[in-house]
Amino acid sequence: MAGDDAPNDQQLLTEIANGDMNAVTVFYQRHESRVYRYAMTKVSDSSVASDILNDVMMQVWRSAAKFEGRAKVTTWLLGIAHNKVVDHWRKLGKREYTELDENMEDDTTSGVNPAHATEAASDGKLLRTCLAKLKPEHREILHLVFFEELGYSEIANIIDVPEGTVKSRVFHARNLMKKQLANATRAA
Amino acid sequence: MNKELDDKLALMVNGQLDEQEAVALEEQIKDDAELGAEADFLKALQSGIKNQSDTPPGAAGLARLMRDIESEQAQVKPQDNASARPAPITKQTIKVQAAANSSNFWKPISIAACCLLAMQSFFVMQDNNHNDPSSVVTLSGHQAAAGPQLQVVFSDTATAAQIRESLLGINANLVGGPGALGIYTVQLPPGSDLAQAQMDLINLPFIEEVEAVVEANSP
Repeated sequence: MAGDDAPNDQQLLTEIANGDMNAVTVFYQRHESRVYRYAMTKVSDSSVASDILNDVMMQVWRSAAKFEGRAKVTTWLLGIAHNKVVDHWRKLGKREYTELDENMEDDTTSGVNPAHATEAASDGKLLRTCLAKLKPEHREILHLVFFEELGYSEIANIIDVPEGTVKSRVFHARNLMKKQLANATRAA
Repeated sequence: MNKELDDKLALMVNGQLDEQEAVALEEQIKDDAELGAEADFLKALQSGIKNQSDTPPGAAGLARLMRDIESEQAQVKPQDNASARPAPITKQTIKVQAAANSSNFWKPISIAACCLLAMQSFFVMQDNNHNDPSSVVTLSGHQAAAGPQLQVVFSDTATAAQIRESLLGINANLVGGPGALGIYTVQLPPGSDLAQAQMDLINLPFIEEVEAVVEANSP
């Protein structure tokens, strides 16, 4: 790779397309955590998440030359990760749940003390327990909004649903999380 | 709280809201306790999610990726590699070659059969020419070479240079072959030491079989 400055993601993809294995290493190290954590929100299994990470990076190596720069590299990368998770579920015979928000369980937050939920959210262990109780699609949407800090249209591109569905899913996921946290605090 | 405000609140917390809209929303939060409590919850939620520790596989994952890429490259380009340069000799290739050589048991039998055929042909010609082999003339009109001959099987990996060098070493010429069975006939000069030439050739690593052609007039 030329130059002393760290190459940006798009430059790395160009190098990878030219067969530069050093670029593969740099790209992997830069995005490993992002892809792995995203996969974990969906599959909740470190071994499966590692497999998905490997599949995603193999896909990057195979199709780096096809990246056209129409989306951010991270959006493209997480889109690949989303598809790999869907492939994984398909192999297991699971159907991707696309009607999630139309068949919601009760996520109304009436009677929930927001202060309790806020306090509980700062307890890492409690937060993890409550996140684990959410459906994968809700964990995924919270991860993309609050960890990846993406906008709704980018998220819609990654998970391949309309932007309105993204907004709706964020709304439901937040409320479910608020309820879980408040209940957990009350139980404790 | 209306739906639009709700959508904007999450974007304000994750930094995706337009700056002007963010300022306006901050103003609204100051005047609305419910909105303020929701913003506090989302900030705490974001902080908690960011602090969750999921440790990726690290160096082991990278090593696995490199291994898989190499494996896929090897599968994609086997033909390219074969034409570009010979495969490196490994213990595995030696074993494969040894197995291939062990299946060459038919070669000595073929050589013996050819020798038998040559003898039979000679006797037939002898009858036709009234026991006068000197009357045999090649189509080109020259007298046939009178020296002893060898039948040789070269290994599949023998190069032209190796074959040439081996024949020059015993001052011989290639006069026939390879034929369907891969057997070459080598002509030695008259008076050559057949046994020595046979020994010289058989000791070469790229030669698999050497048999003397039995002379028709020998006892």
